[in-house]
Amino acid sequence: MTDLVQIFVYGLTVGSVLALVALGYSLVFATSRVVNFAQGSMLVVGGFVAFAVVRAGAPIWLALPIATAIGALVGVAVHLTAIRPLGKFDPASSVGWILTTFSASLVALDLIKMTVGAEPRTIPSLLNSIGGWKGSTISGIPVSPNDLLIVASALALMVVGEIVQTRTMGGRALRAVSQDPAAASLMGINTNRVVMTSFAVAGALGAFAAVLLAPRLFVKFDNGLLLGIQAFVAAVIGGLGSTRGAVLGGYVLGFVGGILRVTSSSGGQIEPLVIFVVFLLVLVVRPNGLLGAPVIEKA
Amino acid sequence: MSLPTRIHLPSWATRAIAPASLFLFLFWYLNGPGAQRSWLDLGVEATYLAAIALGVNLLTGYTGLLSLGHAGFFVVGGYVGAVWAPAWGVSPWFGLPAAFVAGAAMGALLALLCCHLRGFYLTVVTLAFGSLLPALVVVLKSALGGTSGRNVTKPIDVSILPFANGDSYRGLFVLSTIVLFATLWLCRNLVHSRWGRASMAIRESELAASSSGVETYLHKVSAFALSAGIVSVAGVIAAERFLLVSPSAGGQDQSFRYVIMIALGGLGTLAGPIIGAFTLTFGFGLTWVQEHLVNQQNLVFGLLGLVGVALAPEGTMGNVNKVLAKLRHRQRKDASSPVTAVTAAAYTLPVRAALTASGPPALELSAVTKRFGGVVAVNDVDLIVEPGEVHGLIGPNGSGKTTLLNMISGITPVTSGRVMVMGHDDTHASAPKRCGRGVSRTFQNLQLWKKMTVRDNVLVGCHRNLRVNTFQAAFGTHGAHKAERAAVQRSDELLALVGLSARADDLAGALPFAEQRRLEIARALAASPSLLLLDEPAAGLHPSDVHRLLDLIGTIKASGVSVILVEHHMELLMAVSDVITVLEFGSVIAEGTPAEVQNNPAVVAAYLGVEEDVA
Amino acid sequence: MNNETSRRQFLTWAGRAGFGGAALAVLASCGKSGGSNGASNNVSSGSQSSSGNGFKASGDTLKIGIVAPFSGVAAFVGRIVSNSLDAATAQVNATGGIGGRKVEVVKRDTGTDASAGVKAYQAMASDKNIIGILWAGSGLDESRAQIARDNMPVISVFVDLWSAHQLYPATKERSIFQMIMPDRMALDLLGQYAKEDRGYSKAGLIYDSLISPSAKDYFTEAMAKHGLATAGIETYQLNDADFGPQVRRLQSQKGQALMIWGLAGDTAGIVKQIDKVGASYVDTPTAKGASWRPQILGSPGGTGEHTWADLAGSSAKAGTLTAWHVGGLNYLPSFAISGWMKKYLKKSPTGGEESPADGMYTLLKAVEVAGSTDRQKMISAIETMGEVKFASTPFSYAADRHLSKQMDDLILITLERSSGPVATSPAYQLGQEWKDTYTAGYAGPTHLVRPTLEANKRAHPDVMDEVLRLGYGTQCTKHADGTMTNDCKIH
Repeated sequence: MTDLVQIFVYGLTVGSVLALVALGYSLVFATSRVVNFAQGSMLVVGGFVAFAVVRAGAPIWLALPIATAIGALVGVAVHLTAIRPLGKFDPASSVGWILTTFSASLVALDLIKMTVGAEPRTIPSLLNSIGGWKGSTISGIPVSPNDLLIVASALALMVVGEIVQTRTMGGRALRAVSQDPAAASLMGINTNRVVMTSFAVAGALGAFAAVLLAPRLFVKFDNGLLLGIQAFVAAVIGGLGSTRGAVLGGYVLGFVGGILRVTSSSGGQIEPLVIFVVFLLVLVVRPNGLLGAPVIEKA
Repeated sequence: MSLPTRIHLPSWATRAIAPASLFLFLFWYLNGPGAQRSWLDLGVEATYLAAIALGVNLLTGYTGLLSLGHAGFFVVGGYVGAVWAPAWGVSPWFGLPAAFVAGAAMGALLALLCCHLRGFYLTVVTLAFGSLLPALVVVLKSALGGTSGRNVTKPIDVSILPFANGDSYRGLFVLSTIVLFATLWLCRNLVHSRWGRASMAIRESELAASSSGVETYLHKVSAFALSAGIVSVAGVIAAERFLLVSPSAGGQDQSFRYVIMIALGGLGTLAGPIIGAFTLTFGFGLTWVQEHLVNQQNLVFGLLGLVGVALAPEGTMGNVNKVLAKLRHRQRKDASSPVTAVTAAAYTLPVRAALTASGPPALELSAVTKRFGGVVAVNDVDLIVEPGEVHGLIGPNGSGKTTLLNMISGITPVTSGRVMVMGHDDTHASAPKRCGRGVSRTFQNLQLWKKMTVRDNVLVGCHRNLRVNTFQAAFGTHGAHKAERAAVQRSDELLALVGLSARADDLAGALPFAEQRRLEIARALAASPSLLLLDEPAAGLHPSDVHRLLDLIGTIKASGVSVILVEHHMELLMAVSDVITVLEFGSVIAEGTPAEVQNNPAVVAAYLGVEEDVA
Repeated sequence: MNNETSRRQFLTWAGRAGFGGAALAVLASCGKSGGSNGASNNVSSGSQSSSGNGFKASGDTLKIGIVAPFSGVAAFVGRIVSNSLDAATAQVNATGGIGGRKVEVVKRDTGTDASAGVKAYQAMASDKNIIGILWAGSGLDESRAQIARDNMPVISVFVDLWSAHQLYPATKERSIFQMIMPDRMALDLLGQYAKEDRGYSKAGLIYDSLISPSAKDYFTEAMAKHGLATAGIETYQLNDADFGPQVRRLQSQKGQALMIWGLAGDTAGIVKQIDKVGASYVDTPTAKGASWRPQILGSPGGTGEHTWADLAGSSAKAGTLTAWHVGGLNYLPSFAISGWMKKYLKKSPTGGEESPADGMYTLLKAVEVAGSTDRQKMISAIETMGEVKFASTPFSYAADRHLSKQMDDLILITLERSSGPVATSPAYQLGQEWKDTYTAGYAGPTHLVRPTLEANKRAHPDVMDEVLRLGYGTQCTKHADGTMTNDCKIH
């Protein structure tokens, strides 16, 4: 029973952590078919900006919107410098975007290093108590208000993402561009603007996630790279380009990690091996990820 | 000034180029910069990285499959070639071929797992493959030596090589350079062969490649295997360089570096990977940055990356090729070459034997049905195409004509029913298999390989006729050359037939629309079909071009090839068809001679009556 | 077999941690050729054995090569190295240089790429003005064969060769020396401390299997040596987001001490998790009590610097954590490097700065003693010159000991928050080590030294006297019967 609770707590929290980051990858991939390797550095930018704002004396609730806004600006900057100059290209066979998105993240990280610093930092938790509840244990497994906030945010963002995509003009434009950029463009949709918006939203999401995750992972340079890549795997398993998929992928990885760690003290060591197998199984059965839309190819 | 598109040298000279340049390069480097040991070591690294880049380029640049996990094969090569093979008691020299075989086998295995995936998903599997190594190091600690790797205890005695002067540093450079030249030679042969053209065809349009008889899945596996084998051999040299095989060399950072080298130099070119590898290894300017701007170096490298790609999106060679293409274009404008058109009558198409009226039908469909989910696209269709017959297929848009063609050519599997081609049950045969049986097609939405030349497009059409296997192609054997020459001649004849001789060396994407349509027909004919499927060949054509098409179909028919013609252009259809089948909502509503069909009231109601709306 | 022992430090592994590794570091290390600076490079390929340049006229600079990660995940190591050497060279040059010659440091970046380290070595080996190399990055393994052939003096700082039996005389490369404290020795000492000084009977371990894959072996060895029972061995990977499963298993085993081997951020995460399950360490009696309240022991990389306490926030309670340390005392007046950094760079040390500076001085002193930059003569000088003092505590090498540190050089410290103890349950009683009167300006935690005075005083009595005199820590004494003095302010 305790094991089961532990697996659930681990799976839900770690899964939500990954899901929050994975959403950014998915969104950008949906519109541009590009994997934004600078997405991880959005976490770093957001985290350190929030830290700088808090250090300047502002409360964390003010730091959150500021960091999110700057994350969005950085997203736009990445689009303008790394994607726009490439013109029209096929991401599957042209590889310049790998180089440019990496380059953009190098620049972003160095700018943060020069302005805020590179030491690991901590920022206050967004939520210390819910109605006086400051955390408790369920059969010995601790749960804190911030953990609930992480899980709730991941699910809420997924729902909001779905609603925006299906119910709003902007969301419909996004889906149109995602399914057939050429046709969308013929229909008068400004594809460039849609793609740029997706980069902006992804940047904002990254910064938002960084603030949310700080109580668990702190504000560190490593977060961008390590968490970024794990989240990318989550996005792929769930189906790149799908909001629901990103969240599902996060939970798949979270629960796989939870089960491995609960059953063995060296579970973390064989995790990459197990994830590879899961990965292959998923892609053999569903080549576009669990919830990814198939790429339509015309004869 | 004339810039020949292909340089024709006597064969002895062609054969001497590689060894001579190898000799000159070794002589220059070892007596020049390589006299200093640090340069010698840089030379080793640059040469094996260049070999790696060439290998990965076969997969990523030519076949269009992006791998971000090839550094894994680098480590596999090191273990197999430099540690395990010598431990079995064989000469350390055998480590090189052993590494190639082991790497190729693993590459093939990985490919079998992931080649059904499309686009970036395949890449992601390679990425995951690359991350396996750290996990394997933990699991197989004793075999792999843990995180610190295994020492090379029996190194290859490279000091006996020519130019080495008994020095192992020089010897390793000689070995590495030989491997680079050998790789370059292999890649050059492959790229200009049946193998390379098929690769590029897959890259440009997998659908068309498959319909032209390329076994795309197997071909992708072979590309994976070849590139992995080459990277593995480089891994042996790196192991000899460090006298250590370290799993740390297999991280994705290295795999990314391979791709970045190619991206810098030029994807899908032979010179590009070498330029990229040498630039990255001998980056003096960057060394300056590193020494003087240690704290801002990521900023500088990042900006360089952004600016570099913006200036040369297709790499250095991409820009070079653009300039060359411009020069050639100008030159062609100056010299108007006379077009030697082969008149239709003067040319007989090469066709397969056993095409006689008494033989089995070219095609026989029995109760063929196709459902997409709940929608029935083709419903219970029976159709017989006799040898030498031109069989028209008409029907309103959405009546299932293209779906039917897709099922005949093997692109779309049937839901139920039977497909007999030349008397064989091919219901479950793949597109390449049917191409081998003699089914060949064109596409309504053109599926040309736009970044390949017009001639190469037709040569891929000859894929199945060109009996050259990958080994013959790689080593450029006499037989391969002979077959290649025959295929080129054949292609040029077909191009003459469709009036495209003058455009043979242009990129297919540069042709005007009508010529692209004719090129598709030439490509389809190159497969020596018994049954040719033409999907709306007249769509979008000028009336004069339609006339030309009419003649062409006549010639095809005259040579005994059966034709299924899907067409909205009634005049054309009525003029050339022997039999016409009319489809509506996926079912056959009429069949007969043009005259019979024209007078069939059901047809008139369903189709002819609304012709204006359709057009 | 030697090579079956995992020995690589985290520098080589950090890059590949997690699912993907240091792809980011790629660009940074792309093109880091070490293409030798052609102008100053006249050495022919024949000079492989030993470049006898002689001790030439003053005016020539003495160049020291430094191979370190200035980019990528391990860049913080590069920052420590940079600060240390910039301050130390400024000091040496300001006081007249070595034999009238100025000292210059040539830095080369390895990122996390071993081949970048090899290239850096190649370039340095052919620069005649480079008298020796400080190694703090990747590629030392890959360069060993060539270092041996060149007989190049190399001081390993932040690469731990000794622990894996990879340092002379265990192996043949005689020109390599190790400056930093080896992990194996440190775990040995922590085991001894847990058993002898605290009287614990069982201890657990949680370690980063990517960064310190060998911690488990050294831990097991130390447990056996000191007669301690093992209370669980757990692994995690750099940047894990949740330590719940591991902490729960450790809790069920009830070890009185828990060793953590990893980086500061993860240590903080583990400490927070322990706090969440209500198992914070309070004092030795509670650690030995029925419920699980382990005292945490660790290494300075993950625990000794104040970073972990900052990150862990209110979970970092007084006395929570004890680490072996030398560099943690960098703020003491007797640790000169701290003064130099303030003087020349206007910076404070973060921990670890003493090693690169002392490593560099080893090479400079060797030139002075040998009266030559001949490699063989320098190596002999290092082996015979006896005790040296420069940036921190004195150290020495010997012909049969290429490791600067010995067991007695280790100083154990317990970390506290400078802001005072956080409320604990049961209530914190014993310690009053934190004092608002600490006016030295150090913002980090305060320190407690090892309870056995002799143990910490053995090698560095001056340092210990200073600690006590300035009030940076307290000292307990163990009676012959094993009990502690009553007034001992230990946790």
